[in-house]
Amino acid sequence: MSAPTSTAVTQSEHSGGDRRPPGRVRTLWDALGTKAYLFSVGALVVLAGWGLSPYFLTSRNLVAVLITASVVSILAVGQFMVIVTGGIDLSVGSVAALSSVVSALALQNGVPMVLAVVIGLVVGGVVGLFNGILIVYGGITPFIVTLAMLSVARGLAYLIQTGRFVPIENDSFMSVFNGDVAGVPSPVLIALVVTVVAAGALALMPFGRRLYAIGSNPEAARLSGLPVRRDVLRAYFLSSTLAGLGGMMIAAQLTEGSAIIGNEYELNSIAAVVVGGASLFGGSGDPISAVVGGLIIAMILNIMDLLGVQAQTQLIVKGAVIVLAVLFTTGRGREGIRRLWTLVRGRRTAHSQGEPAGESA
Amino acid sequence: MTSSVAREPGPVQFAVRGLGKSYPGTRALADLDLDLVAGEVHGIAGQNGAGKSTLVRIMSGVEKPDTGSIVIDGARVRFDSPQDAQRAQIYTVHQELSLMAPLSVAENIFMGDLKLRPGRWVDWAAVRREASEGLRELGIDIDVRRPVSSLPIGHRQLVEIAKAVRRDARVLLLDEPTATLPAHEAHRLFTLVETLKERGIAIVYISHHFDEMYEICDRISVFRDGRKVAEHPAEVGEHNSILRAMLGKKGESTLRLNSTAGVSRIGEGAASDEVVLQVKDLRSDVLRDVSLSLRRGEVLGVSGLLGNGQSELSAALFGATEARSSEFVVNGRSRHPRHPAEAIALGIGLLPEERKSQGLVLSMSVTSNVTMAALGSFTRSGLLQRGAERRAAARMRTSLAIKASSTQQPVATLSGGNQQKVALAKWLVSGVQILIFAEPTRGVDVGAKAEIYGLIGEFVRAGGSVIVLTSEISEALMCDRVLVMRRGALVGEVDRDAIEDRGEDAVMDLFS
Repeated sequence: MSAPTSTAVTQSEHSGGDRRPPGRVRTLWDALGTKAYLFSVGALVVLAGWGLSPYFLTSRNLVAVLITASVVSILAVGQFMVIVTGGIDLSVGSVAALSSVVSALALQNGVPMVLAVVIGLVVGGVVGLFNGILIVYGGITPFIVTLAMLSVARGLAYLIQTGRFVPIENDSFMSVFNGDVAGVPSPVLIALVVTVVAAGALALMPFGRRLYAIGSNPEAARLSGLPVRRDVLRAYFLSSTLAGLGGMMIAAQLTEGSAIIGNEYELNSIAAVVVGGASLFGGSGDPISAVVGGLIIAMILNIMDLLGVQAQTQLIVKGAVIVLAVLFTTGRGREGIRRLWTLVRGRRTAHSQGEPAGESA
Repeated sequence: MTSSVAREPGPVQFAVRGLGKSYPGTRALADLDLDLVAGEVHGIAGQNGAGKSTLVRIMSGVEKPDTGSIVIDGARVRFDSPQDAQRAQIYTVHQELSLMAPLSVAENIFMGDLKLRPGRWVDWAAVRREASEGLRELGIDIDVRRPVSSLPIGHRQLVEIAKAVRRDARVLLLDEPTATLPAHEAHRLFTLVETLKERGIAIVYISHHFDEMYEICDRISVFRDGRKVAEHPAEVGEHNSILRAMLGKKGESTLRLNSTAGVSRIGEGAASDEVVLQVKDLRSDVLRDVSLSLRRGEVLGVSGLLGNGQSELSAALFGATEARSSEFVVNGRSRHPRHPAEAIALGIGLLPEERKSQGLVLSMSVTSNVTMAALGSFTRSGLLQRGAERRAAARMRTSLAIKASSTQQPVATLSGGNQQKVALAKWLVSGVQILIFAEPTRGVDVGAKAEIYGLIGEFVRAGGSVIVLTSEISEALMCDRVLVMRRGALVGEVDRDAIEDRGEDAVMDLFS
């Protein structure tokens, strides 16, 4: 009774192995799928803005949105590199403030512009190294370390600024961070360069591959000989350095360094990453999606501004957007929509052809 | 679900009829019938991917079948959740146990319905008393106040079973219960299974180990490619028929198969006299002055009962754990690796025991896993050469016969044997000359076992050297030389002549 069934089975095994081309098409579509979804949500928001306000699609308004979103985008790129390892960086907003104050003070004291910028970046980088060392070698969870740094960095910014703020009168500093190049505002350009470089690095460089591996399975990464500690340290270093860059961009826009800038930017950058579809457990997502996520939030806030929605309501909407976005990118919502869709489609084909199209033929 | 009106102890109380389940691209179960009888142990054998775990998921209410149904006492039932299955008195003990580690044994046994006193206070005295009575009835002696996290894995499994029994389980599914169990603890499990039989519980016993199935099962159903292809009495005399059913056509050539997949030696006779690894007085929290040497082309077995320091030894040799040594010479270079990257640079690779959690990044593709330990060699001017990566992965897929629809497939979707091949491919690509292979065939089906032994053989014939850490005697006997570990120390060495003379006794005598 045991032998006869064997031939049928081997046949089905063979037919299973030959289904490669559709499989490849499918994975390609899936890879695009998450991003296509995000871009279509963005397009929907643009459409809604166009319908709701005549000012939304004017180039002046769009440029304003992009400039507002540029700093959060840069912070989000850094935040993503930390989140992909399974960590989090709550200190970026405070680091932006600290670095704005330090670079403004440097300019005030006659330090050449380029050097002041370098100092601003180094301040960010040093804070990031500190975070990284405490996390990697101190064995403290990223949440706690960067929460503490959120407090420490802002406190330091207050301490060294002495007055209410530090005015900036350096024209070249303004033109670098708040000017334009061939009509394109420099903050937008900087954000674009940062995003593209980061996306390239994560997709094409060994460092990027390692970050995904570390976020997916740190133990397997370690046992494959990857420099897990060094890479995690680097991620926090980069996140903080980019926060420093963002801080100087805000400073140029406000023509002052100040300890109060960048408030809640840590949360905005996390929101951007999460709306972009990355998991807070690490190992998934990409910087471009994070930036698109940030842009979606910025556009929604802008539309509400144009409609004269009060700030309090805007906060509530922003919160709702975050939850909904995550529900549909990584949560159950997407599955629900898909199920609803196949149900509708299945019924329709059942009506016309008598049988729904099967998954595998 | 329909509740049973009159529970008549008929011969078949629990049955599965025409069960079918498909996942995109594969048919996991097709038209499956299975009858369970109270007080009987029904073994299920099959290679990886035969549909055993799909059956478990359906019977435990985790997944719903596409076709067919579950029949209890003549009534069809439908499980929408694991709770439904438990309400129907079907309990599953998974390989990964579902106990709450920080809570006490008593709390775990009563999880979800603690005894209450008036005012909704928990009656801890009653909970503890009844928990220990329940355990005693099953012949288990554990202090119920201890947190589960402090118990060895074998005891945790017993607690899990006791929990199911307390809830009047009528059907108990044991999914590879001995896979994570030290050999000496397996016997306590078998005794418990006997007790459960006497209580009239129907038991489904899934295992890769035939010897234990013949010991405790009454019947064995054989699954292949989602179908039940045979059902036999669980007797050693039926072994050949069962194996033939399980392996299909291939079985013809491997009828002599025992648990070592018909292979009697791994990489026979490839060993030379050249020493490639010399370690003296390796010491750590667990290891006590371990000294060993490995020659080029040699397959060196390290055996012993589970938990006697084998995994610590593999980690220490690979620099993955803190250890000291008075001498550590690899290929003539004297250097004790302090972390894995250094060990890899010296030419040592480790295939860890916990393949899924330590050896592979399951969510990443075959390609990314295969090149992970050699990213540097796939980098030109700072950029990964993805084409070269894919070609290397494709080469490995062909030469190791890795069954994957594409090299971009996530490793999580491969079967145990194919995952092990991907883990091995990673080291072949990295070019290491010494492989430390911990439990190379655990959780791997018989067919893939033979393939993996073959691959190790090829590796040593090509000039590599392998240390195989194994708790399976039959596997240890296939090595050129066997070292036996006990409580973190090497207690003896068995050479080939001794193995040929005395067989497994030569090794087993040293175990305890």
